Amino acid sequence: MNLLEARDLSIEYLTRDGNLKAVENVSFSLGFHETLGLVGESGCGKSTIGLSLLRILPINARMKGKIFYKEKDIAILPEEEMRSLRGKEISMIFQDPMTSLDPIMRIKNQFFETFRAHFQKMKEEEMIKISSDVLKSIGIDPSRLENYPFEFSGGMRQRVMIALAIVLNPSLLIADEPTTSLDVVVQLQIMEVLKELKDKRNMSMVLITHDLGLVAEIVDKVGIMYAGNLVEFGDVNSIYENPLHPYTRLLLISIPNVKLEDMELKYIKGNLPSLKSPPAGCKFHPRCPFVMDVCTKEDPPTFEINERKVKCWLYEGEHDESKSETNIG
Amino acid sequence: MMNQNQKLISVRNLKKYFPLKVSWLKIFKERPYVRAVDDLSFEIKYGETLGLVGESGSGKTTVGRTLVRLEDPTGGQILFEDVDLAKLFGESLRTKRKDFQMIFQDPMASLNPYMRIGNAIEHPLKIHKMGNKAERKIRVYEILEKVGLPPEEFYNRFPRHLSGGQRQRVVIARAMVTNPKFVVADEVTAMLDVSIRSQILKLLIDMKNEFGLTYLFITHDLASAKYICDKIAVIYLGKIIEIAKTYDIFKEPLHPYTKILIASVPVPDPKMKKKKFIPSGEIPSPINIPSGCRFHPRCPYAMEICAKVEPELKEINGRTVACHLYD
Amino acid sequence: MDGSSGEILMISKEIRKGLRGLFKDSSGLMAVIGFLILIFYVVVAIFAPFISPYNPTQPSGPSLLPPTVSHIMGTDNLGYDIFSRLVWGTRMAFAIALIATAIAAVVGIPVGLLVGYIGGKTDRVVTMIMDSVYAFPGLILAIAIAAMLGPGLLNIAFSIAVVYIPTYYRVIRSQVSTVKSELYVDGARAIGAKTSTIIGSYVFPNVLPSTIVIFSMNLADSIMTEAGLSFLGLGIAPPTPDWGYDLAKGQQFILNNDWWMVLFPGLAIITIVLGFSMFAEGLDEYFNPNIGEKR
Repeated sequence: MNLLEARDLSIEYLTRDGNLKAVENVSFSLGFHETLGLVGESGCGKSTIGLSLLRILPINARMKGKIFYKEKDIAILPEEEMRSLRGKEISMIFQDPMTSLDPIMRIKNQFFETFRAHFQKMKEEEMIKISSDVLKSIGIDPSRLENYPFEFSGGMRQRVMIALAIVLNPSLLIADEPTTSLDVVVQLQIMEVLKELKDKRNMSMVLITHDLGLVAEIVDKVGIMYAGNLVEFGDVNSIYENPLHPYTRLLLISIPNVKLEDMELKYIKGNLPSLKSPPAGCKFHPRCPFVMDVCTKEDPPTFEINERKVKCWLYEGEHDESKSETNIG
Repeated sequence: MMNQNQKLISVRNLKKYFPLKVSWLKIFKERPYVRAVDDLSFEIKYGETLGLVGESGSGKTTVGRTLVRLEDPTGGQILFEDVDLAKLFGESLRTKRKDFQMIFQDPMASLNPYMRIGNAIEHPLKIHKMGNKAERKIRVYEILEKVGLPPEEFYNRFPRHLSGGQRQRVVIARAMVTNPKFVVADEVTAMLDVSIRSQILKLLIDMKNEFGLTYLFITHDLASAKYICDKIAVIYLGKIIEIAKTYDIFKEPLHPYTKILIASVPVPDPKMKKKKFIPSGEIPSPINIPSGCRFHPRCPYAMEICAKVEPELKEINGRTVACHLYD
Repeated sequence: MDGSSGEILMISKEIRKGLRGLFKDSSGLMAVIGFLILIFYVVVAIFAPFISPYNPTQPSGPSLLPPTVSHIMGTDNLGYDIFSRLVWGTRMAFAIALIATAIAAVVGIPVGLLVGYIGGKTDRVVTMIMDSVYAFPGLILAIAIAAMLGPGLLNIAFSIAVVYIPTYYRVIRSQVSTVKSELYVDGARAIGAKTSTIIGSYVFPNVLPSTIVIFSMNLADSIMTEAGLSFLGLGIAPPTPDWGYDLAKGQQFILNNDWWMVLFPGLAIITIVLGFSMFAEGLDEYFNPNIGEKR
């Protein structure tokens, strides 16, 4: 059994000027204790997927498809039952710790709030004990339970947010750009915290980020998103060693690195497509160095090659016939 | 080039302090300051690109803003071709501005929402009375082409119809339109999408090469600095702690903080299980600067002297570093 | 949703999109209603000579006549036709409101712009003065000034304007403080723009939208204030048709059960004020979220 499985997930936003297709026919799976890195740029739909896993999409979102959590379709779960999952089974941490924590509530009380949402009768001593243990494991002195969020630095605040998210020992943690607003050194520290969560607590994670470098050290599987599509999905080692989709390849070589041998800057031409009026055919084709005629006309299906999924016409001939998934509509 | 090896910019003992509001009760105690830039000195030669690398709170943006005189320095000199910008005000400062420009970090906020792109780029030419109306339009068309925005399409548009990357190109175009000698680029790619960042970086490099520009490249991303900078200065809590040629900084970083910065850049290679040292703590607030060496509370090599005496910038083998390890 | 009805839906979608372009969402309905009311009164004002059945400053029937076929709103104590007076009075209402608001804007906006941008001591002093005027109850201030200046169209407009100058000042000044620290203003300084250019091209266009709403609300308020002044006898001298004056007069006769002398002028004042206010609300929705798009 997989911990998480998304099947043909499609999410649209209803806006004044028409419908925005934020996520289109995305399917992936995540096993127990595994970490998935969902990588992409702004507007690719990665954050939308994160919100959909917790069913906290904005009011103008329309979701289609299935999301199996421990083999139960949570996409259609009644709100009451979903609420009992949130925080306890599936938890989320967000990008900006400054605005995600209630500024006028002591940390202690924010923990109490989390507990009381699921265990109304829990005693205060017990709540304090569990909270202190969690804070200690994250590297924060438990005496700081009395502090307010503004008394913490950026990195510490993010740790507090992580502590709040894991205090009830969820099976799945979704981290939406957890280090984007932090400095590069603090980023390193927080990634270590997440790594420990993975190793010591056996927590499954979905790490949502735009940084291909960041996911390399911590995830087991990688999903690359572009303009609402999952263009590549597979095991982390093989993707970095042998990226198949042109976007993945270009991204990997165009990231600035610190290697002295590499002094020439490579870049991807063109701009991100507009979600309101995307290009015909494959959404990446205007920027693709390998573009073919078919790419400009037809949206490629997702081909499966040796446990790797690629949504690209280049791989039409190579896929396992029996396993290819075709997009409908 | 005529001026090579001559200094274009020479910053000496630059200080920028921001006073904090003091409550009435504390009025007799010494007034606390945020010492954002605390006695900084560096030089940039004609045609050179100096990188200023540091985390947020290091003071790097304040250095940039003070250099282009968006702020008044609290002390020190900013010699621009032998004219001290720190002593220029009003009209004489304004007219000098055609020779030095700034590119800002946030492309969504740096353009006037009510000004069309063409007019925005033309504006510096109008201000400094460069050319007549027709000549200015030609120049704007020219520069729009150079930054990769077809003029027929973009001249009359408003910023709100442009993406982040496109807006940043407009800002670059506007900065270059008067043919300045010196450009300060403040975190110009930080708020752009990943696939666009390298494009913009490449544009800056191309313009540098074509027009022989001199840059101060401010960034928190050491990796991107590598491609565009000739020399790199690392700044921590308002002070420069190391300056060296780009190659030397990456080949052999001297200051422990520089080492940490380099090690913190994520590497897209899952096989590289780093023997990493994870630094502790975060950059302290510039209101409470640690005694002695500013970095000593987080330094894995801290010695007794580090807590007491602030190290001076010393020259070693053609590079400079401020660290007691190298005394 | 398919088939021939699709076309009709498409067409109505286009119309709706167009209307939405002008007025947004549910507040759109409010703005549309407000706008229609205003258009109605504007038309009445423009075509007053053709709509008004009688001369409003001459007796056209027996005095104190209740509404009948010949005089649909009745006549007042001097035999003037009330309906005609209301129709002609529309011009007065608009004239005073527009002039008063224009004066207030022309004085308040530039002062707010300059003082807001310069800041410092000037800011503190001027703001203190403006706040004091603002704190003063509007109608009383208008009364005081009108009493000093005496009757007459311009005098009244001026007294009303003084009450509203601080409103423009405050709104503009607070907007300017925000815009002043925007990055594009820094950008303008960095390219060497003169202070006057920065204020004129970079700050002013970005603070102006906030005043459009104020303008409309002011118009509503001015009419009320003018009615109040006339009511107290400080307004337009009779026999010029003026709603406030008529309302005041009507009040004297209410004990006689001559209700039509109060009802119709009162209704006119209420509806036009409503019209301006609703329109202002709609404009607010339209202008404020429309500047630029966030990524």
